[in-house]
Amino acid sequence: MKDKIVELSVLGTGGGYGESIVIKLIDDSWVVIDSCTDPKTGESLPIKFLKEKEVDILTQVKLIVCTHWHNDHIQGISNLLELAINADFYIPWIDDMEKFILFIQFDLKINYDVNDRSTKEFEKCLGVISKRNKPLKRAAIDNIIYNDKINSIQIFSLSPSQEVIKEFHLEISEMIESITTSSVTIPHRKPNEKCIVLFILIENFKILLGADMEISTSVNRGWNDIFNNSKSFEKEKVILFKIPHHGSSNGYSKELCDVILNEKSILKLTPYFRGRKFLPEALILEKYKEYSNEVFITSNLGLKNTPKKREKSIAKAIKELRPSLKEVPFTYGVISTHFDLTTGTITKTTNLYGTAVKI
Amino acid sequence: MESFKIEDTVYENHVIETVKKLSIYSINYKDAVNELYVDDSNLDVNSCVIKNKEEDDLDGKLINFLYNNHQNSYRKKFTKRINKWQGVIIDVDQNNFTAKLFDLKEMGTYEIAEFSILDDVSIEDRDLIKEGAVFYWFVGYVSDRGTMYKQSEVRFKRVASISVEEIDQISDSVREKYKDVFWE
Repeated sequence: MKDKIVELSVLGTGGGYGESIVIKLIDDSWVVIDSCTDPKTGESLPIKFLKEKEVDILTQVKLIVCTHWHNDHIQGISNLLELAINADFYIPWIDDMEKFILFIQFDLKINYDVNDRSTKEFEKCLGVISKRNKPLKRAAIDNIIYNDKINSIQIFSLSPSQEVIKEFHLEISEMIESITTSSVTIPHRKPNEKCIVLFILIENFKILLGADMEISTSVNRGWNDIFNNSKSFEKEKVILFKIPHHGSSNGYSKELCDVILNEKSILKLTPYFRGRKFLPEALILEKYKEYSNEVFITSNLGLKNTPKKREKSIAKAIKELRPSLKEVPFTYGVISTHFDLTTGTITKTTNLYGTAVKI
Repeated sequence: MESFKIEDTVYENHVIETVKKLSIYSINYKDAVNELYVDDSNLDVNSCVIKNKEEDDLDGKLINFLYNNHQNSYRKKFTKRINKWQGVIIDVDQNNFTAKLFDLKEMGTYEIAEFSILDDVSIEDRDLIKEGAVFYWFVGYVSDRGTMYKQSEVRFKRVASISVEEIDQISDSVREKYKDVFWE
C-alpha cells in the first residue's frame, strides 16, 4: 500500500517580514499559499524551502495562492510564479481587473521609489502572467480551486464575500480618483476582509487556513459571512487551524472556534509587529489554548533595544538625535506537521525548525 | 599660514567636487577653491602638490579648515548629511507618529522610531502626516560659523499631480502591456 502523506508547513518570520504556507499533497503535488523573503538576501523563503525538499518546482507545484496583497504575504511571489510555470495562480476576486491594474500603475507612478510597496510585487506577477498562456484566477466564497478526485483532496476558498467584492469595486474607483487628482494613495479600507480563507478537505479530514481574516459586525462580511453563508465550509472539527491575523483580537471568532476546535486540533500562527502593536495578543493566545495544547508559533516576539550596527559617527548621532530608533530583527521558523493517512486513521507529527516554538 | 595654489589639475577637480558636496559655494566655486587656504601639512611646499591623496582625509581636512579658517566672502553655514532613511508612517496620534524606517545606505531589516510632530516636522509638512505617508529622515552635522552640531531633519515626500496627458498615457500603456493577461 502506498503511503498517503500530507505535510503542511507554516513558514514564518518575526517582525512582520512575512509568512507562507507550503503543503505537500498525497501525490507529491505541492501548494504554496503566500510568500515572503529574507530581507537581507531577498531570497524567497518558500522557494528556499521547496529547494531544500528537492521539489521540482516546475512540475510539482500545482497551485499558488496570494491570499491578499499585504506586503508580508506577497513578497517574492513573482519569483515563485516564474519557476512554477504550470501552477494555477489565485488572487482574491476583483470584479474589474482592468481597473485594478490601472490603479496599480498609477500607484507605481507616484510611489515608484517607495520601499515596502506591495503594488511593485503585484506588477511583477502581472508581468509573469502575461507571458504564460494561463489565466489569472480569482477566488471568492465557495469556489473550488483545487480538486483531486483520485486522492479525495479538495481546496475551497471561503472568502472574500460578495458584499466585500462589491464594495472593493467602488473603493478602487475612489483610490484611482485620489491618485489622479491629488497624487496621494489612500490606504485600502479593511484590506483583511478581502483575503482568501482556505478550507481543505483531505478524505474526511479538514484544515482551515485563516489568512488575515477578521471578525465583522456585518453578517455578510468577515468570519460572519463564512460561518453563516458559505456552503463549502463544513462546521466540524478541524485537524489543523492556521490562526487568522497573527492571533489578534480582530481575527478571533469564538463562535467559529467553538465549532471547529478541540483538543486534537493543531493551531499554528506567525507573529507580527507593527509600530506599537505586537501580535499575537497574549489574552487571545490564552483563549486559543483553552481549546488545544497544540499551539505553535514560528518565532517568539522580539524587538532589539538598539538600532542597526553602523559606523561610530552615525551611531553617535542617532543615539543623540533619535534614541527611540530600534531594529526589528528578522527571524525564521518553520512548523511542519506530517499527517499519515495510510491506514485510514490519521497520525500526526509536528516538527519545529529555526525559531519555531510550541506555546 | 601660507597660501598655495593647487597646481595638480586632477586634484583640483577632486577638491572642487568635494567642495560642491559640502554645499558651501553657490557660485564661482572654482575661483573660490583656487584662493583656498589649505592646511599646509597636506602640501609639499616646494612643488605645490598635495601629497596626501586619500579622499576621506581630504574631506576631513577641508572640513576642519572651513570650521577654523572661514573667509568672509564664503557662506558660513553648511551641512553634511551622513545617513538617510526612507520612512513610512505606521501609526499616528495627536503629538507623535511611529514610522517604519529603511536605511537607504544599507537595506535589509528595517527599524522603527518615534517622531514628534511638533519638534521634528516643519509646519509646511504637517498636513502630510497620516498613516502610509512617506518621508525622508536625515542625520548629519551642521557647521555654523565654526560651531558644529548634530542635526536631524525630516522631509515629507511631495509628488506633483499626474497630468491628464499622463493619465491617458498610462491608461493606453496598460492596455497594451497587459493585453495577454486574461482571467477565467
